[in-house]
Order: sequence, then structure tokens, then C-alpha cells
Amino acid sequence: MDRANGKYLAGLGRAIVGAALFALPLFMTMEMWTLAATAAPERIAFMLVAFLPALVTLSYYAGFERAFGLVDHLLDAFAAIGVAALIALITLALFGVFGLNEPLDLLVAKVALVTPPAAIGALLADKQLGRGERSADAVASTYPARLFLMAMGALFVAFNVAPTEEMMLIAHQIGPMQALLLAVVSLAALHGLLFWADLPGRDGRREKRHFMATLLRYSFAGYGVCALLCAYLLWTFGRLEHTSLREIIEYVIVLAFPAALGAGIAQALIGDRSARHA
Amino acid sequence: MRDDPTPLAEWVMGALGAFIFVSLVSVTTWCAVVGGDQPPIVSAQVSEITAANGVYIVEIEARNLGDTTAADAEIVAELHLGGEVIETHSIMFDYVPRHSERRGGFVFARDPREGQIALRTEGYADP
Repeated sequence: MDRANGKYLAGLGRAIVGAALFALPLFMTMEMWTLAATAAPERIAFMLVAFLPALVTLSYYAGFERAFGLVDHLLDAFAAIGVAALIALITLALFGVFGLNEPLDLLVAKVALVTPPAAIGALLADKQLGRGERSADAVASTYPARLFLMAMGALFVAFNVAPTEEMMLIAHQIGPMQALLLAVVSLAALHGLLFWADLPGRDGRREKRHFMATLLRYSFAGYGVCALLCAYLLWTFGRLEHTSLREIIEYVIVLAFPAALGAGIAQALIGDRSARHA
Repeated sequence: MRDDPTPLAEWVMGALGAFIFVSLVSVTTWCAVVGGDQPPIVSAQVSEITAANGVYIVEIEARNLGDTTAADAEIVAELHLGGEVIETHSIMFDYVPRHSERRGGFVFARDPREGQIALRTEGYADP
């Protein structure tokens, strides 16, 4: 029992480092602090709830310790959330983000906003910082699993830039042709990362299928997932209010670029390293 | 398959995390339910006047009593002396969050204690 506890605590230590390291850009992003006061609280609450099943599933494919069964993964997802929220609280306090006499709901919103991405960082810590020990229960080899990993990779990368005003600024300074070009480049980059770059997980996707079939099944599907998640993040941050559809589409295209890169490297980032030999 | 029972530390951390999760969700949901939708009501008050380097620094507190956050809230300070406005200054706060306060200061050439300072909120933008 003591040995099991020790092993768990070692995994937890990596989770703390993962949460602190991977969410650091967000802790140091001004918009993340002001969004706590401007974003709708019900959307922040919804985001926390919506991330829970995603974190449980992510624990199944990655996870910071070896877990068995739904209860274990649920415990690990909650532990990741707990670690993420505590690290967020400590780091934001050290940075002086909490003002004196600040109402409790603002403090909670500031922590709540950065908790989901930090929790992803905590769950990925073992993959990124571990010694390559196999801690995942499963290898993401099915089609839905691959799409899920792409979605998590997209969220992980897009979340870091989604709250910034630069997303809107870029959308404002590009014209429709540049937006179209950016969308095509994003799709091509995703396809290239999935099938041409020598990254882990590539071989599993290479099927004896027509080029168009893989393009549609993985790259277009992946880009669609990225675009939907980007629209969701922008909605959560209240960026879509009183905005024309044309402008919204440009915001989504701009944010889908980093999201597509995240989706492209997801299997390398999250998926089991041995997946390429599977 | 299952070589170890779930370690105690895992239950403790899981419970702690679940508690934090439920707290975060309930506070934000509670705010969504009970929070009103009053527009930003930003008012400013003088907190301290300091004389330094031949000028007078008037520190103020801008407080937002409304349920929504104000962006670019502009506060104007006028120094009234003998029925006349002899100095006008303005400052802009990037954000004054709902039910929160932000601090700032005006620099006056004349001693404001000789007259009266009138503070007013000029306007704000929706963030």
C-alpha cells in the first residue's frame, strides 16, 4: 500500500509540474484575468462541467498515473482539476492578479477559467515529463479515439491564444482572401502533420486507402472539429456577441490555425508513443 | 490485470479535486443565477491628497456598484474655486470589474484643498 501511495504521489508531482508549466502562458495573459470579470459566469460553469468527461477520457489515453476502470479515471480527472485549481490560485496570487477587496466570485472566476487547460497539462505531464513509462490504459487506435486526441491537442494549443485580443486583431487586419488562404494552409498543415511528418502515431493512420479518403476522414474531419472547438472557446470568452457572421467566421479561421497544429501533433503529444508500432 | 488496490493518496486527491470542482462550478453557477444585470455604475471618491514636488496628487477610488464590468471608464476631476473651474483632468481605467474598485490619481498644479474637487464618470465601453 505504501509503495502504491509513493508511486501515486510521484505521478501527482509530475502532474503539478505539468499544470504549472503548460498553463503558465495563460496565467501570464492579461485577458485571462479580465475575462473573469467580463465572461458570462454560466458559460464558465458550463466549460468546467463540459471538460470533466473530456478529462476522464484523456486520463484513459494519457493520465499521470496508471489507472484502472472508470472510478480510477474519475479520481485522476478530479485530482488533475484539484492540482490545476490550486496551482492557478497560488500562481495568480504570486503574480498579484487578485486585487485587495476583490469579491469572491471574481477570484473564483479567475481560477475557474484557467483550471481546464491547466488540468489538461496535469494529465499530459506524464507523457511529456515521464521517462516514457507506459501509463495509459489504452492506445488510441480507433477512429473516434484519434479524433478525440486531435480535439484535445487542438484545445490544448488553441486555449493558450484564444483569450488574447490578437485573435480579433488578426481577423480585423486580414481580408477574405487571406482568411481563405489561412484556412487552406491550416488544413494542409494538419494533413502534413498527420500523414507526412515523421511523428509518433502516423503509421497507425496510414491505411491502404485513397488519398482523398484519408484527407476527408482525418484532415477535413480534424479541421471541422478544430473549427467547432474554436467557435466554442470564443463563445465562452464572449467574443461572438454583437458580431457579424462574417467576422465570426474570420475569428474561427484565425484561431483554427493554432488549433489545427495542435490537432496535428496530438498523437505525438498525447497518444502512446508505442502507437506507431501498433 | 489489477496489480494494486487504489492507493489512499489517490482517494484523498480525488476527493479534494472533486470538492474544488464542485466549489468552482457552484460559485460560478450561483453568480449566473443570482447576479443581476445592472449596467456598470462607476463612481469615484477622493481618498487622499498629497503635496509633492510642487504639485498636488489627488488619489481616488473608482468603484463599480453595477453587475457588469466597465471598460475604458473615464473619470473627470474638476477643481472649483470661487465659482470657477480652474483645473480639469481626466483618467481612464482599462477595466473596473463589477462590484470592484480600482485606484488612480490626478495631478493638480493648484492646491485642491483651497477649493473643491468634483469627480464625475464621463462614460465607459462595454468590454
